Amino acid sequence: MTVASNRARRGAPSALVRLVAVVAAVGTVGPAATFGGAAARAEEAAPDKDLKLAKESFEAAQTAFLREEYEKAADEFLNAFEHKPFPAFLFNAAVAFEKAKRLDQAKEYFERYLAIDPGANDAAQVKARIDALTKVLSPPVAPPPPSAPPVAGAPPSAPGAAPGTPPASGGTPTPGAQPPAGAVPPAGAPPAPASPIAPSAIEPPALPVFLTKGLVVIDSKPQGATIYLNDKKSGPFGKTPWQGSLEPKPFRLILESKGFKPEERSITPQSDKLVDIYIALSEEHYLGWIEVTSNAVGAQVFIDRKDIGAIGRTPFTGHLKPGKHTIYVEKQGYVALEKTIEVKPGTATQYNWPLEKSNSGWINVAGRQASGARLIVDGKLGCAAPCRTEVVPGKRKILVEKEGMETYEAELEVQRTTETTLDIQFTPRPPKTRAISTGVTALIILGAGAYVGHLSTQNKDGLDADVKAGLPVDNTDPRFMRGKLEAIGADVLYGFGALVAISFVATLLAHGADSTSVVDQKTLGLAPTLGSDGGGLAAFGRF
Amino acid sequence: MRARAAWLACVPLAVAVAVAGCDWRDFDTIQKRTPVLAVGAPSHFGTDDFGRTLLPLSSLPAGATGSRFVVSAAGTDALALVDVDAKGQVGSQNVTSTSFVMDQPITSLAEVAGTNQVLLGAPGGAAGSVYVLTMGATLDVASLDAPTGADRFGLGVAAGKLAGNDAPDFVVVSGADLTVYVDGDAKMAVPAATPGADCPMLVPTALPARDRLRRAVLVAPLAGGAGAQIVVGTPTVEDMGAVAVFNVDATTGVATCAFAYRNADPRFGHALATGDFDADGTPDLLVGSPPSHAFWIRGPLTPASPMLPVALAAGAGELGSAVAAADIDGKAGDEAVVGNPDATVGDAMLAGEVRIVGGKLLDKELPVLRRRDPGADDVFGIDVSALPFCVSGCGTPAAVTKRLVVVGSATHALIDFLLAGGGVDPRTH
Repeated sequence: MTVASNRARRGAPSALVRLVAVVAAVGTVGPAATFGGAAARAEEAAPDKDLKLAKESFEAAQTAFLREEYEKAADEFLNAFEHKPFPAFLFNAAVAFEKAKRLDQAKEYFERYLAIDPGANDAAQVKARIDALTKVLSPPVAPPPPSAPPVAGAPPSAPGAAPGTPPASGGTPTPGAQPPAGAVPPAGAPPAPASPIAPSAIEPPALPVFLTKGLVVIDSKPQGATIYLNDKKSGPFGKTPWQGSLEPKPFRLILESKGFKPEERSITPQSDKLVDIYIALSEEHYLGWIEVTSNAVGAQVFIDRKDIGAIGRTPFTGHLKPGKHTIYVEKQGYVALEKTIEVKPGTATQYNWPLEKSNSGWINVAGRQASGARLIVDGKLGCAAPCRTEVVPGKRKILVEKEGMETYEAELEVQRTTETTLDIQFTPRPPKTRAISTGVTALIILGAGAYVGHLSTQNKDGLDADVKAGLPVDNTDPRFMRGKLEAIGADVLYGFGALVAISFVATLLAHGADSTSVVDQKTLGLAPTLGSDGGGLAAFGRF
Repeated sequence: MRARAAWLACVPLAVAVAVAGCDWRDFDTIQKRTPVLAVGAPSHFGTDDFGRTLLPLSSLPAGATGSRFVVSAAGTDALALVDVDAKGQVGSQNVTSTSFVMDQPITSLAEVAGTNQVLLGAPGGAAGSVYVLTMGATLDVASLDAPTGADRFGLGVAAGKLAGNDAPDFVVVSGADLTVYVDGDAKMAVPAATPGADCPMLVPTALPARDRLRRAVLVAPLAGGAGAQIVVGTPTVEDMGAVAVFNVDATTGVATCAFAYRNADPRFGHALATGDFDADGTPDLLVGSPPSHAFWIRGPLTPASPMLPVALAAGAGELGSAVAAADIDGKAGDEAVVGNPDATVGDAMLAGEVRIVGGKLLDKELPVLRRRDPGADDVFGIDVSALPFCVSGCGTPAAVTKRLVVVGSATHALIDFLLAGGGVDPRTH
């Protein structure tokens, strides 16, 4: 399955590979898949090495973060960013630096976060955070007089907090109780004393807690698929490839792309996880998948046509275009099977067709002269020699034809389980040159006959016209004798030409000595036997 | 299988050959209805000696239709009887007889009207012979006794009612004399009275051999009376040719010269024929005067009757060597048919042609008759005759007969069926 998925991601997949990829994706991130399982499998499914490294770094960072090894966590986040420049990595690094009290670096990475993703959803909060950090990091100033009024514009209390509730001072905020962005220290909080100590070493003021972000990466094949969340009523969420953070709650992910079947997944993002979702979309209504099995393993499988050869052997799997197909399953010793199936797009169907044992005989055309010959049994093409073909037992009319050779003709009694081997000794067919010369001669003679006949007709027509015109034609007019002789001559030429033409036809159809064959019959079979120690099958042969 | 395929392939071939083949019998069909029927020589005749002497017969054997004519050869003693049936089919039989003198050609012929006899003149040899052919159940030949000292006896023969009883009388003309056999009796030879200078009778031996084969003689009632006259043509070498008219004593049979027509043409009188050219009901006399002319003399003949020229376009050859009268155009009056056997047609020398002149004054020449495919030495027109062709009622007084033109050549007798009275073919195809 991993192999199939990887293959699918490497590009240029066949329809088969694409379908397998889809099936793999379905199995990986099924409708009931939770984030964790999905993440693990998604990790496996992610062939992108950088993403994989980024994910490893991300998860290492999260682990370090939970162990409060914030600097290590920050480094791992930055390491992840080097592999994949997702802005969330910078945000998380900034949070880790802040936890590690390296406020200047925290500020720097918050700023880089905004620079890379200025349109981020939390841009305002981050900006307020930067401002807060900036103030914390600014040089200490003289404390205002105690009676000084609060700073104009400063909120009286943290948003979200109950009015009148004093902000916690110097306490650790409860996780999950994230203060609003831009929160500033309370007006009554004592300012940080001026100190030459580096800002990073300074205890930061009490800022609202920023938690690290989880990351969701959604990609598809092909890219550019439209992303919907939960349903399509609220419109597209984005297009693949997409990365970003989502609230840590269950979502229904819908991917759609024109010409491909829509895909749906259930995902549950978490703030400490990188979820990589890759979906190979399958082409809509394209192929169906079949599997053909039989009791005769290795039987030849033909689809729709037999003349182009077998397309495989049982057990056979393959994809077919939708529609009706004729499947032939053949194996020597078995009765050939022919089935018509209906393939529906996007389906996978198994067929198990048992073949019945055959009691046929076989004809084997062999010998040195067999090459190029064709075996015809009862008027139907058997095979192209040298070859062996199965024949229904009984008296069969056998023809073995070969170009330029006399056809071998015989009537054979084909017996069950018997192989009849024909070693054909072809004799050459007489050349056609004599027939051609005879034909040309016939044409010449017939042509001469036609010409002389034409002359005769001319004389006859002339005489007839003269007689009808009343010209003094007498019965001794030389045209009579000439015309008669021409008519007789034409008839003689026609007759002679016809004889030559008949000779031509006979020559054309003439054949040389008959081709012969050495016929050898062998019987092979199995017979049950009983011995003193038990029974069994014994092979026997008759030659 | 292959053998069957080969045979199956032969079927369309055979069909194709049968369809594409030519039927020579189509030519036979056309040949039976050609406008001109050329009758070739039977055996006994040389290949170029058939058609030079023709004699159409007016009577047919009982039950026969069509026509019959006699043909003799000029170079041998061959004689044939040719029958043409109503469909134009030709049958011929050779006439042989022990009476015939071997190698003595029969060059003059005459039908004995009202009988089944033909006079055959064979003037060759030492004195010449005349035979009488009787066409009954068998063909019988008898000889006439020649007068003592006759010269070229049988050079011309004719028959007609002249003297004696009702039987036809025979007229035999030799090189210089005329003899009448009263009632056709071979023993009753009556020499003519010496004709004298007004009626020259001597045919000079200096004439070309072809002109000495026969001489023109006919018996016809040309003088206007009930009796018939003998008309004899006498061509010469250099002198004026003559046509003499003899009257015959009805009792004794002695022929006496009445008058003669003379013409500057030396060969005036080489051929004679009678016909009613001007359609006045009286027979007229047509005289051939080769090599360039023909004349006609309107009947009844008198010494003063003018010799009218037949309006013929000038032509080289032997124009006028044969003449005949026949109704060609179907209108009243006969047309003069004039042969010119030596005419050159196209590139064919001696191919021959026949001129036909109509009109009451014989002044309207009709299209010239030539062979469709003339050959050199055909001498088409060496003899011309009017051939009776019986269409129906043959052998009875109600017989319907067309008078066709038959033209002799060196090898064939050519019967033109479309020249019969307006171009209607009388054959029943």
